[in-house]
Amino acid sequence: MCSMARAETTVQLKNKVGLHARPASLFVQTAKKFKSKIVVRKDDKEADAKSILGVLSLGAEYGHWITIVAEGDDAEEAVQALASLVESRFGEAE
Amino acid sequence: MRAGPREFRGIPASPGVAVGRAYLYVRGYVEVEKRELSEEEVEGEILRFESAITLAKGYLKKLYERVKSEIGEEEAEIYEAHLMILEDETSFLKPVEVMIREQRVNAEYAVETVLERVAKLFEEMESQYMRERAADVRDVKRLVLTALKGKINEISAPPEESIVVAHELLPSDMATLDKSKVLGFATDKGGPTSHVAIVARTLGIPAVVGLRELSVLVRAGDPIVVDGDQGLVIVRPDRETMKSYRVKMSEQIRERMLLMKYAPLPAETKDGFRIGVFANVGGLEDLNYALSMGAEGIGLLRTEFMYVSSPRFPTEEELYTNLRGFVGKMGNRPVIVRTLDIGADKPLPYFTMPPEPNPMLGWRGIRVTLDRPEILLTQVKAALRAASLGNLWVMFPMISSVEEVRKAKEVVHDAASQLKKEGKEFREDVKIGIMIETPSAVLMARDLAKEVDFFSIGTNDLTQYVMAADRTNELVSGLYSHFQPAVIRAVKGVVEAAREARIHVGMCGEMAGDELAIPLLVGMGLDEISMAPTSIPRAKRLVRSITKESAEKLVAEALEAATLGEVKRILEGFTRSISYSGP
Repeated sequence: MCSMARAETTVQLKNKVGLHARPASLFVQTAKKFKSKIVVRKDDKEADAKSILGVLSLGAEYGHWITIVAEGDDAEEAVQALASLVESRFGEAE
Repeated sequence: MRAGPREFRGIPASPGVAVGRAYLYVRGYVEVEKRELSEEEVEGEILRFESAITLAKGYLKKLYERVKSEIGEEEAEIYEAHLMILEDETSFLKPVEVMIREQRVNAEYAVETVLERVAKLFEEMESQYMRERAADVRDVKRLVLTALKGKINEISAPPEESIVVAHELLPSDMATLDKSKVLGFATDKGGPTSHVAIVARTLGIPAVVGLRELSVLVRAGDPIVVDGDQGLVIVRPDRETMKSYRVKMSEQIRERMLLMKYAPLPAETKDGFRIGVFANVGGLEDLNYALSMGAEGIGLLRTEFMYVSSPRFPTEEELYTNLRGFVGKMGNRPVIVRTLDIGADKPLPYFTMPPEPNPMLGWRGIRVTLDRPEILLTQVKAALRAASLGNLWVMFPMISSVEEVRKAKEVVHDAASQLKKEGKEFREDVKIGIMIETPSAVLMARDLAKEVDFFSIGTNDLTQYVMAADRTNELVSGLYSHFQPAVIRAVKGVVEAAREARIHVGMCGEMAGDELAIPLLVGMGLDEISMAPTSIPRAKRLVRSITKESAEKLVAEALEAATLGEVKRILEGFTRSISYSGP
């Protein structure tokens, strides 16, 4: 049986507005670049990382931890890219 | 019977006062009826929905471009967010399709049901921000419903001296509203971060939001006062109130107009010393604004955005096209391009950087781009090509040693020889400079000055490194100040080193736009100060109101001070004694 690649990581939101506004858009835009199925979890909520309304409805704010799970050929890259976007505080200005 | 004056308390959203006549903004209301479909109608209905989405997307894209060029990138972002909702498969497109197909209902009803559910969900969330986003979802809903009718709304143009009164002003309302004659905004709904508040602040139009039922109690043409400082709206004010607000309003307008008169003037002291007043910018939209505020050059062009907004490292051609836009607009005025400045705390989505225990002291700025010279080479090639169209300078960030400067200059050299081979048009003799933002660069300033054509002092990082105080850590925020005697002495040393070597020296951190600091910078004899565009007219007025001689005395005095408190006291005393010169 062929098993799908799977990757997962948990990161903390360190930018001011959390997963809202511009950061939420960047997050979804980045997720869409990958073929893998990607979900984001916060506490007991889960959303499709490619859905802006889904991501917003998580209500993920500054200091919250989110888990990113990807399944598919580029799962590893997807998780890495999204995690580094979060780590970079979404490229917040200087 | 004529009703008397009435006061409404709301939330102050944009400062200033305005007196005018109420213009009632009424939005086209779209009624949604449920209609059952026959089986044959289903596919056609889905097609109709899809074409409405295409129409709505095209409309939003146009709106995005227009707002971006007329107001600014930040204000335009909302339309990008709306576009993303239109493209949301999981929470919008699929559910609507499924509903049309399985429940056999018309597209309008399906759209209304699906998006209204999301809006309600947002409204129930704890944060104020999310509750306001429910309005965005409804705005998109309305747009799609209008698009399903096959047409999208037109521009509405309020007459002279209008105060726009509305139940709610959504992003699409703000975009299609001609704001040229609007003196103020007053809305029933909305909070300090709602779209109307943001746009009003950007345009400098007073606004009060959260006035609950104002819009039902006002009649079109009623005299009305908007006090954006106090969050107060007065409908049909008495003569006295009206008069005093009119006086206030004209004072404010006079103040703003007066300040704008300084925009085109040179920043020259009363005894003839001239300092360049430049702008820090990140995007082309900032540039238009900077020019209108009187920027004489770009002292810091941040290039990170060109990288963050790309799915991979941008190509030489992409970077060139982007830079050309800036250089073309600025003519022969300097455009100082800072090469890519990333670090573990601000990486790129497609470039993995190892996690570091101390990112501020780690692999960042020039350290990264010298270790990955292909990144720097591509960027420098693009810069040298853009330089052939105007006055572009290249600046390297985070320099802490002479070796780094030499290596970076080699990359410039390589870029030039490659371009020569490729037969591309470029300029070889561009000015090469560095940011001074580390203590080592301050101590080595004399040696560094022999290597480059200019310095630009980055006071944000310099303060952080000189004081060894993380600028994002509130526990040490008392130490983090560019008025610390150590920082002032560091700046003085750098300026002296530049003077001796006869090279240009500028400043591009927060300090450069700080009115309290500017006399000091004039006294030290900096060639140029670069700041946020909004600060430019005030900075020019200040410089034109002082003398170089008095500023030099101020420097001598400030350099004697041993504590932050003393420095501040000296500078505050000086600022208080200034009487502003007329434009």
